[in-house]
Amino acid sequence: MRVKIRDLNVFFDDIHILSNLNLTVGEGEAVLITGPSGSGKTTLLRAILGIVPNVIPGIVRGLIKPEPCIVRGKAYYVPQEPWFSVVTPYVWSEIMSFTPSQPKLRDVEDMLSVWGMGGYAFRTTYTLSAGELQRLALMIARLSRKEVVLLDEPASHLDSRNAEKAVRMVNALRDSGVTVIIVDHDVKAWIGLVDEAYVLRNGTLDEDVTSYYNEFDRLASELRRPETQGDTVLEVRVTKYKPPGSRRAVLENVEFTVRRGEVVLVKGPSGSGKTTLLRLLATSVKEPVPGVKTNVTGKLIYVPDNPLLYFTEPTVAKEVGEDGFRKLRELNVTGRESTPIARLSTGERRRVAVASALVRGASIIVMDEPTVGLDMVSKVRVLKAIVKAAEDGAAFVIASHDPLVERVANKVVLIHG
Amino acid sequence: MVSAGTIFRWISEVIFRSIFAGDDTPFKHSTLLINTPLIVTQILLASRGPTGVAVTMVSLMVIHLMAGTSEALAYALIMTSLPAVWYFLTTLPFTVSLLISTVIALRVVAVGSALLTFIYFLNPLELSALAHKLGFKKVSLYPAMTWKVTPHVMRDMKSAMLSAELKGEKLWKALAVTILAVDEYSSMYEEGTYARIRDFKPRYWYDGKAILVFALILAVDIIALLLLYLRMIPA
Repeated sequence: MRVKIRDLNVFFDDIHILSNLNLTVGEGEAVLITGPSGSGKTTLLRAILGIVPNVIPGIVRGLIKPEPCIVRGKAYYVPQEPWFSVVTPYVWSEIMSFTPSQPKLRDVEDMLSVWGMGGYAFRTTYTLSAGELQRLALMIARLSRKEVVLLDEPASHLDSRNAEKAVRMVNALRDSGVTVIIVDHDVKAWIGLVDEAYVLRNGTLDEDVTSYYNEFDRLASELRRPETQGDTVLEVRVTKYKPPGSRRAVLENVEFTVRRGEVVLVKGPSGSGKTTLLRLLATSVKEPVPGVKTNVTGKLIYVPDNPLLYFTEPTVAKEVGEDGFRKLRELNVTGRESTPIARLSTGERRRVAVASALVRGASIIVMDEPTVGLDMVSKVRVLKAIVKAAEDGAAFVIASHDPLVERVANKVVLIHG
Repeated sequence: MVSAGTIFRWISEVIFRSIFAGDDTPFKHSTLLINTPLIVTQILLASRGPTGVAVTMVSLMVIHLMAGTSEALAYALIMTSLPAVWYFLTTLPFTVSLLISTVIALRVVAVGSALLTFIYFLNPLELSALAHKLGFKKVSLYPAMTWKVTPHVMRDMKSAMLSAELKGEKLWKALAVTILAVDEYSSMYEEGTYARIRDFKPRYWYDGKAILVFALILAVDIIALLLLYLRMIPA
């Protein structure tokens, strides 16, 4: 299916998000849309499908052909937040109920094995990691037999091996005549595959993607590790941890220490238990957790992978306090002080959560995927702020797939699952 | 000192483990045609007195032992013991009998555990498939979705409370965030299903062994109930 957009304008209240945007994607073509956080990439996908204005209130003006109500029936959409891409309780039910081929259970197992999820058919979907949910959504997109596939940051929670699989999957979709529109910050992952790539800036599309990601390389080269480390502030020892109702251990024999001024990266394939480790670590400060022993010196703060869950105040100003205003500017969040938390984009929420965590005087800050969904400038700024805070004496434990985080990490804890 | 957050997290953990914990198992592929009369029979049994309570509890233990889900029963017992203690203490001044109040409390445990076990083994995909077959296609996704969304929200509520507590903030602030999150989740899930809700064709299968076990338990419970009604065994 050919998708043609002419003079598309989208407004949310008084804010003009997309401005006279033009785009044509031919049948069997794949295009990449990149650009700064909050530039309207997700809004573009939502407008093509009709999610704006039918689910999210907004004004849409201009030509979208075929009309969104027709695209809706012929498209498969993987939203940015993987938690909302899966809607049934079991892995088998998600695959078997949403694929037109109505696969048998043993076929489901085979499909899962291809994506490194063998033995997952009977797993409850709420226990899956963000990366596993993304893999499941991509698997169903491949099986959906739709004419258009819209992917919003489809590899943001995937490790490099699975991200490569995602790229191969999109290639296969395109080869079979499916029209694919990808929104992603990771230009390098897709540039060799897509037919066209655009940067969305100031509401319109720009073809100069090369200079956009060259700028990223320059910024990334400025990153460095914190230099001085002090006393040990955190000791972690996980002998064995099994989730509720599960017979298998998710974590076993994980042991590490963290010193003042140190950035520790928790790394491993998606689904290996990184988020679980961070959650256990934070929980063990408040109550005993069987199989987990921690020794914490000072205050520990935990920023979950969904930044909304971190907030306790209704507006940005109240959340970060006056001390945090400078930190917000450092993190590329400007003019949003009086904005309600509910009105921030995911990328903005992530940065505001980081700012809030940095100004609370904690000796240990535990962060789950602090750079997911951020554009290149914001990512680098967040990591520089972390390094600065570490040099001021804070210690960090960060779970991430992002290779950039490794550039600022003094130590890497590998989790194999 | 135990904080309010710890107590709240503990209660939500107990609810969570007694209903949603654990993967899909063959025992969750029985049928409502057996499980519904079973829960009705067990409630009637438990309300008849100590013998009925004992029969109900033994039935529940057999089911959970055979399904390998005794942990869920343990948490169901913990969960139901909270209202049971309440009933025990509040009825004691009126009954003025430790024995009678204990029996009342045990009934609460038996009825509560039976209900939780019914929910635990209820497969939402069976409900979805039934709704779909009966022509209620637009609502057929909701039972399945409830079993995905509820534990998701509960888990996130725990994370929000934990974060707030570690920040040194009040617990109610975390609850306010959870309410905000739930409101947002409804539109996020709507967005997630927007393009594919019409593709939903729920699939379900029945497990012969599970049906046999639940049918046998139902038969035993019905016989016990009849014997109690006919006063052939002491209540």
